[in-house]
Amino acid sequence: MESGRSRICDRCKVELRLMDAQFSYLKRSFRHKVPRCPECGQVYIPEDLARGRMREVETTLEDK
Amino acid sequence: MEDFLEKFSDCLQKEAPFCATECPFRYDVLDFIDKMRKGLFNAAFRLYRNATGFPHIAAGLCRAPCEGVCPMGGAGGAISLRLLERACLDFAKDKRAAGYNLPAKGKRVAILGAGPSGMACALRLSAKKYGVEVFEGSGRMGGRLWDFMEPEIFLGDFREQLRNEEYALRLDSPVRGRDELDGMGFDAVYVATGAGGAGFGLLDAGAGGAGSLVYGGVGWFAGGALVGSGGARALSDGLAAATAIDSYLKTGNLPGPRVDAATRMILEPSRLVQAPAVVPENGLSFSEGEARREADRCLKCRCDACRIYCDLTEFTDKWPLRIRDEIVATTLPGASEVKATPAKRLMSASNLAGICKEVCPAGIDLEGLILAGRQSMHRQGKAPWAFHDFWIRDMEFSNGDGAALCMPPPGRDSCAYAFFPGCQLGAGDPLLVERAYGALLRARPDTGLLIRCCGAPAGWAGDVHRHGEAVAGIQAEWERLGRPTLIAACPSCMLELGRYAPQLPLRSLYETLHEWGAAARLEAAGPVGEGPYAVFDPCAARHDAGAKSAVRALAEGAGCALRPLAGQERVTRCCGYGGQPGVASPEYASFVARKRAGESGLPYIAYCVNCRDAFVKEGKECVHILELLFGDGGGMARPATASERRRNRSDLRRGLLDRLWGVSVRQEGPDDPGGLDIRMGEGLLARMDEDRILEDEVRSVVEFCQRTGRRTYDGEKGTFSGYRKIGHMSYWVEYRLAGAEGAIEALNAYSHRMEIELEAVWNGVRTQPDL
Repeated sequence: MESGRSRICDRCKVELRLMDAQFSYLKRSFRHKVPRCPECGQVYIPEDLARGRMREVETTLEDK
Repeated sequence: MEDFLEKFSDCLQKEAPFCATECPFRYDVLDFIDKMRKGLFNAAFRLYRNATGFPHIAAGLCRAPCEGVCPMGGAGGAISLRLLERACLDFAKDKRAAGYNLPAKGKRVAILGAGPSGMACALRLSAKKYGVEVFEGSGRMGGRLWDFMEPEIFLGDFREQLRNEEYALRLDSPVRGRDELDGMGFDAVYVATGAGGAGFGLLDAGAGGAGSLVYGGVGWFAGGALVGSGGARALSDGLAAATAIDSYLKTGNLPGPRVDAATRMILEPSRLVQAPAVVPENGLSFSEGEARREADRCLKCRCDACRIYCDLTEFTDKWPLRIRDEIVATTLPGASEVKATPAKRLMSASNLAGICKEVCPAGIDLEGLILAGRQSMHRQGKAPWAFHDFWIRDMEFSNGDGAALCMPPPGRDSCAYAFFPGCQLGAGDPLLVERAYGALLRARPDTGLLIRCCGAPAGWAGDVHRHGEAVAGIQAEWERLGRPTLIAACPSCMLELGRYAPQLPLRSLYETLHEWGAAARLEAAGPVGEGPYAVFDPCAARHDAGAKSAVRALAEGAGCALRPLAGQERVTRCCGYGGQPGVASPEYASFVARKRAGESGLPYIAYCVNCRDAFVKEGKECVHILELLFGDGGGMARPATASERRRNRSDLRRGLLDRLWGVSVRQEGPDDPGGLDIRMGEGLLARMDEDRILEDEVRSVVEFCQRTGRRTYDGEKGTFSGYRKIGHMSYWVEYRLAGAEGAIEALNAYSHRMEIELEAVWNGVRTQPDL
């Protein structure tokens, strides 16, 4: 997965780091480490995460 | 929902095949045939042995009553189960009797008569470890079998099958009265004394026809030739008696009369395929190969009309009773943590094409149950919004100010007719709607125009409230136009309005064009490809004979040679679009479209634009009948993308208002919000269409990122990434600033359904008021 290491938050001009973020879907919440700006919290979700693991979790929750 | 569930009690899925109900042993013929077909002779033998007790005796006594009811009798010759059973005796390598290691039951049973019936009962009861004692009046075992077959066959069978069992055999020990057994400690007696033998009062009317009574605490049972059962039936009586005695000794209850109910099974006629019977080369018995080929001819009769016609049962490999059970479990109230929801996706995948109730001999309406299930899930707030969100938003767009239109004919206040093209035809090709309306106006200048969505997306989503609003919206506009007869172009609109707004007078565009043809001055654009064609009737037009024949007449009038479409003859089936499973189960939608497309090598003529698009997407040549009548002869066009479908609807509304009513409408909203010049390449547009991401959504994301600065920057690639939540969905766009003029090039777009929470709250401080 793309780490986002060469990626910076455009406002704070600092590199993104893998940090916990909170997600929710269909009344369920969970946390996952994604690239975030350590200053302002701006999240970055790479395409392979959205199309891969996130889609898997979405599908699982839809079937529940 | 209860109404639909009730019908399932008539389901014939579990009815036995015809042959099995004729056979005294009523065994699982389908399983037997399957094993024989695969050449699993040992397994087939075990099955047959377990069903008959004494397989060699049963095979010797068999008179093949099954052959009289085998449907293959009229299609090359009845399946010879008798020879197949013999073949399993011939080719099974392991025919040793089974032994069961059970504790002794501690109860004793007397069996009067060592004929086939008595010995069968002795076999079963001794295997269950009852104390069994057989009293035979003559000096030998076998009874009437001595008249029918070689003694080594039945004596050998008795010996082999009883090899592992303990029982006592008393020859030359006739029992003439009940009192003779008194004091011997028996708990039950099976009387199989043969034709004309002692009956001990069991055959009297007092026995209630069941052939069983309790005398002084001992259960007495009768069977075999004594009660008139001949041949193999006597043998099966003994097996049945053993079951009855076992049950009596455990519960104290006597069985009712033995009822061999006839099967209610109905075989789907298309299942019958001619195949000549396999004749044994040696004239007597099958070789291994012959046996396997004969087994292969078997139709494996069962009621499976739904499995043949309904794509969902095939795709999920599920039978209707299981689907019912899964739907019941899924829709039960309660949190998903404490109960299963196995049918959630299945219900959402259904095309709601209603094929099941058309082909089911019991008239079971699985479609109705699934729709009621969707409504229940929606009511409970448990339907995943993502499954139908795209089409619900599309419906709202269609019924919004930018696309909906309700106008009396140019220069008039009210109308006798109103053209109702639906939302998707104009979305696909606005020109077809405009030209069709033009033709109607030429024939009847008192034809108004009503462009709206019929509400099907809300109905299919199980959203009863929203669906009711959509239908009420149409009703209100219809009133405004002076209650005209609606002329619908889309078969789904016809079906929906007919079902939910039956008070609206309604007719199909195709019947109307056919009828008004001369006055409408139809000049066909002509065939767009090489003929001949097959007309693909959509599922929604199944019972619309008028539209079906009108489309054929219009196509032939346009110079098309037509051929019938075999797969659609009995019942019109869905193209995969119906019920909108495209998000919930895209694999299923595509499976259905591919299957339908493959049912004929001919190009199709469709009269539902959703069918047309579904087929063209699968690479099938397909043209809408209106393209033949009003198209530019351009042939198979690429279906419009999701964004084009919205633009087309706006353009249609604006163009019609301008050209027919002289009303000029300002283009709704700037194409590029915030004055940004955002560009998207062909490749990206195609991917976005695949993912159902609209160009407007991409623009909205870029505008948001540029305005708020909420974006990340990839120094290596020189690109920005950011997202915005629109409705339920979160959309991501990767873009770069291209050139000095401030143009922005969108490079990639994707979305996710889960929401990123609390991003604006960082280190406990709410940092971004705009999120």
